[in-house]
Amino acid sequence: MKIFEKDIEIVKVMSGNAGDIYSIQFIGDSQNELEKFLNEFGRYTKDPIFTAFGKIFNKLNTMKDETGFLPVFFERYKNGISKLLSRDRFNLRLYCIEVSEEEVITGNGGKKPGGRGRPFQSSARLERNVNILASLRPKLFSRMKENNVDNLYDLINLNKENAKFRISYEEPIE
Amino acid sequence: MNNLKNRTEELFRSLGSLIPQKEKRFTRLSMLIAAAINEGLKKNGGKTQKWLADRLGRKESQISKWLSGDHNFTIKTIVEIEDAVGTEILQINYIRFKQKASCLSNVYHIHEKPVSYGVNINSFQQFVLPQDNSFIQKVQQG
Repeated sequence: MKIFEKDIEIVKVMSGNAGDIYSIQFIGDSQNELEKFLNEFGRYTKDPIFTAFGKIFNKLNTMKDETGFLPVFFERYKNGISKLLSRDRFNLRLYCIEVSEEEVITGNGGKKPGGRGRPFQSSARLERNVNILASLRPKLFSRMKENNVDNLYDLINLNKENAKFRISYEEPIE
Repeated sequence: MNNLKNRTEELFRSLGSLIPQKEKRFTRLSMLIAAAINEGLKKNGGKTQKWLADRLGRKESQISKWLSGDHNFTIKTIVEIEDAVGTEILQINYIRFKQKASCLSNVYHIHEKPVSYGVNINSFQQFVLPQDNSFIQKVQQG
């Protein structure tokens, strides 16, 4: 395990009728984490994993535009990090922080090797992606509490600096 | 930040155009049904998934799977859930009107403009019958 300390910013990436999607961007990176996920899994329609990608995409889109980010659509770990799943042989997942039914922060994701039942720690990539969000989540909620707000929109509107965090997370060595 | 928003949104939209429409519609309908069930439980005194599982004689994990937005619901399952939750989840707006509206049943009150073969999922809508007879008059007048 290697411990990284990095600066990130929470960025709003999409707005819909029912909710807003945020992502995180490492300072110095050209893409936010959601873009990395979209570019990796959504570009190649001939790849069988594209069907799994489509399922996650459709869920995110419907939540944004119609249902809001209802807790029933997510599965979550004990550390509070949620995942949107493709529920098929690829077990593709997109990791998220549920802020409210109207706001979600999307991280990156990936496919879980070995199917259901194996922990995310069995993949270094997935473990890294969960750890990033798990490091941010408590800091974010405590900042929201300090600022007496219950949503990201107000938090960032109060002060743009509120969107910036220094996180430290463990990254397994592959 | 606006540029970033536009960039991600543009990418999202362009990738979305590659996904077959029927898959989009399947997920959307499954999620709307799940949202309607979820809302029905909430409005029914904040009932839980476990409560629904007990009522239907199913496992809680099964209910959780139904509500995940991937489930291919059967009509039988929907009717079972509607009975348990006490809420109308799915409406089909197909009503055939008689030429002469001599025998009006309550069903005429539901939609003024029936949509043939359209499936409409009204998550939170209740059937409230109008207090006056204005709609009946409209039908009678053709």
